[in-house]
Amino acid sequence: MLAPLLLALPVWPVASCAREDKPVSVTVVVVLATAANAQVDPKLKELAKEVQKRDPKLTGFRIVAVESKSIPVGDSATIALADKQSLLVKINKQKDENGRITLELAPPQMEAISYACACDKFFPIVTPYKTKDGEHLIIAVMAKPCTGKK
Amino acid sequence: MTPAPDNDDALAAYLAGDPAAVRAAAPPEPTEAEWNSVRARAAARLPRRGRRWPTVAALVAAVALVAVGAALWPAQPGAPESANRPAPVPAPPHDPLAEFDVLPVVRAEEVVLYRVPGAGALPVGAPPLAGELVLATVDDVEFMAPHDLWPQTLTGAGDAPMLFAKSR
Repeated sequence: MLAPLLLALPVWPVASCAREDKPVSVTVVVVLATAANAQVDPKLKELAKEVQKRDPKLTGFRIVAVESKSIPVGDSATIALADKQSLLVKINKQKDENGRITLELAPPQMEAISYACACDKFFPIVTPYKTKDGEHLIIAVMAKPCTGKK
Repeated sequence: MTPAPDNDDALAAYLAGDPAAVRAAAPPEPTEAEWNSVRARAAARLPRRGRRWPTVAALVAAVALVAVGAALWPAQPGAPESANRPAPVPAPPHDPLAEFDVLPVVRAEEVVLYRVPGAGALPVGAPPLAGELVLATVDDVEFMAPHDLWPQTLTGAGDAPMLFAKSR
């Protein structure tokens, strides 16, 4: 008799938390890197240094676009990159006890990846996609709880 | 039929009210054929009721035609009544800026830009990327599931985690 009630009890707090989840603000910086010049956008100094550790030939870094989107937890959104490429972003979990938000990304020509990252910090991904001019497509993704301003 | 004047006895009896003489003097009943002939002549003289319907129908049709004509008359283009009306004055074009003496301009903090092209300066609004990109450190990132690409994320101590896929 009590079995159905006992089974239902753990469900209640989970559902309650889900309702309290606020959307997550995701910012994606679309970058193109090249070996043809050495111009680095000042905002990309740190990114360029880290990428050059992996590939020293990439010397020029420019921002193509910056996009910010508010995505509810459990939902996904598509963000346009460069060259008609797109990035699928899914928010899997709201900020956990360590202050990390869990995301799932599907960058161009790559399998979907899932990771948790601290708020306000960018996680860079150098994709295998190259434009017809030979520029490398790089994306940097940052997530943080929506403040209500957006 | 009264008895003939030359039949004195019968006439006297008839005048005296003798029932037998009165019965004998009664005219013979008409035959069925004679009745039918009389009925036919009477019917021929009576006015026929069916003949009224065409007249009534024609009257109703005429009234209906007049009513329809009266209803449609004003809708006819170029009707004399509408020709006499003054031409409508065209409304002045809507001025969307009529309510403003001076155009109000938003302040930077009142605009949030969700997507900006490149890193160029914009005349107004807070850009999604305000300052330099701050990369996550090793302590900031946790990878969820085993993935072929994860070994490529770190190259050495102090490096920022980064997913670096080889170009194909």
